[in-house]
Amino acid sequence: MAIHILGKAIKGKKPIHLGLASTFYGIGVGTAQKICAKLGFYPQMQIHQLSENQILNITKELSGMTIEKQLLEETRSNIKMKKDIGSYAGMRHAMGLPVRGQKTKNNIATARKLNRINRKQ
Amino acid sequence: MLRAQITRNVSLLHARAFQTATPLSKGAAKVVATKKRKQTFNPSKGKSGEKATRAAGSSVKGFVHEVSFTGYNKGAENIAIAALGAGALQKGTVCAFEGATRRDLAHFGSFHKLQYHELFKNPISLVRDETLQVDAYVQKAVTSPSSENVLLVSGKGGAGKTSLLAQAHALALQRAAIVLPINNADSLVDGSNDFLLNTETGRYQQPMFVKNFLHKILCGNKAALQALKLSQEYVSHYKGKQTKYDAQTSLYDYIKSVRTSLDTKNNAYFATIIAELAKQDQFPVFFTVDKFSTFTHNPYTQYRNTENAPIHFSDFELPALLLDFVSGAQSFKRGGVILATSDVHKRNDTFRVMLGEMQPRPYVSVEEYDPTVGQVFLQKKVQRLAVAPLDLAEIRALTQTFIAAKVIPEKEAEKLEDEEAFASYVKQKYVLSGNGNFRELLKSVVLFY
Repeated sequence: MAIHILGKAIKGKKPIHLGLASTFYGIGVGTAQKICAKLGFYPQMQIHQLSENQILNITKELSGMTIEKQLLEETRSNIKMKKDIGSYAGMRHAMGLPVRGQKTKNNIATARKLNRINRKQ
Repeated sequence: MLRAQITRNVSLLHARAFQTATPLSKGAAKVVATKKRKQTFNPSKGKSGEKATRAAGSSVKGFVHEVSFTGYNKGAENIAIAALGAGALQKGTVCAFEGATRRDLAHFGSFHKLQYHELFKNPISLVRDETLQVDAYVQKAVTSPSSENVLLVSGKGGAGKTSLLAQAHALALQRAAIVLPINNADSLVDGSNDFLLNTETGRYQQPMFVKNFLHKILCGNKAALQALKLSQEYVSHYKGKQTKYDAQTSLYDYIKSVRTSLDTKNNAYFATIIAELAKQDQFPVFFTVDKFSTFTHNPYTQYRNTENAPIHFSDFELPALLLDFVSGAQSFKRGGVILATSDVHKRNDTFRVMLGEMQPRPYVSVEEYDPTVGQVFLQKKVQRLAVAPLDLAEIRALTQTFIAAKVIPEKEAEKLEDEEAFASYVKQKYVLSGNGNFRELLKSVVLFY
């Protein structure tokens, strides 16, 4: 049975921290564990065991964090700012090339995929 | 071979309904077709007006669970084995857990998966030197306080520590004792149970674990708990409802009633039950813990507090209580505490200090030496019992039982009728079992054919 948190469905059988980490952009396992610890969930608790109040508490925690669209916009604006000021990093982003001095003879697939002005999630 | 056969049997078990159906004639098939009930996925419409009830949890279990608990022992060979009896144990004989003892031990969870109990009508057990020592220990413990009777069972993996604990349960029950069995201490610290902070005591409680633990205690010690009366009046609160228990209420009824209220805030039900058991001297009480070395393996549990810091095991109610009974801070008037180590946990300094093999070193990390456990075992005089490997005579006795129970196939057994061949076979098994490892011996016999 899936549970919906902030409009996103999470499979009921998943442990809470893994469910949150795999569903929301900007939340990793560490952050999800912090949320679980704060709200008093035990480590192997599963999504389907959450009560309505607990779901509301998770929603409240997530609403106060920069995740999903907000985080993506922030990342995009940072990249755009670097390009606008004419920095080297901005230029490399615009060209779809590695930004941090990686070699480009081989294997720049990730840079080609991610490094762009309008960065995808 | 056995594994394949059991898997086939399991699948046959599920397919039996289809196989036993006989083909119908054409006319009969028509009649049946008209009477065919409309199929539906709605469980409430499954039968006429009755709401279908569904058992909790999945009905599909894993191979190991299916083999261990599907009743394969009912089809096992009948063999004449004496029941394990207190005070009349003979070294080197194979005994069986029978009747009420077997039922109570099953409630306690003393029989584990992959111990191959399904190969015999009743679970069997070998009486060894260690069994006699445990028998003597139980005999002494039923007349002296538990603080004087702390027994630590250690040994290599597969040596028979858990089996020895099962024997200890049986021997204690036969002396009319109450047994409090924790058969997997790992589940206290691995984060698989819920936890609540009791703000009054400052300790964390584990309602789900304690509820199951109390269920085991209730089922396995029914007669003794029914005979015990509360020493004073108690009141319980649950969902706005107040229940009073007078001094005439049996401990059995009290536990049964409060077992469902353990998730209430700041409750002291479990502590009350243990305090009641500690006050009485009608029955001896044995606290037994398997895999106790989980506390030395990593003293910090998988649980985290609200600041995301790992919680120490001694901050939990049940492990702290256990340490109290080991250290002697709390004691039953009659009884003992039996701890068994596990080979899956690392042998760090805490573990070695616990076994009395070394003194603690200064300047080592908490992972290496945890003073909470170490100090208890340094200050406390603990009886230590190391489970030795099997000797040739013991392997011989076990092999004879395997032949009688047809665990070793008859064709193979015929070859062993000659005494010389049998002696050679026993020696071969001794080598194959890694010079007398109980688990490896069982594997070499059971999984070979």
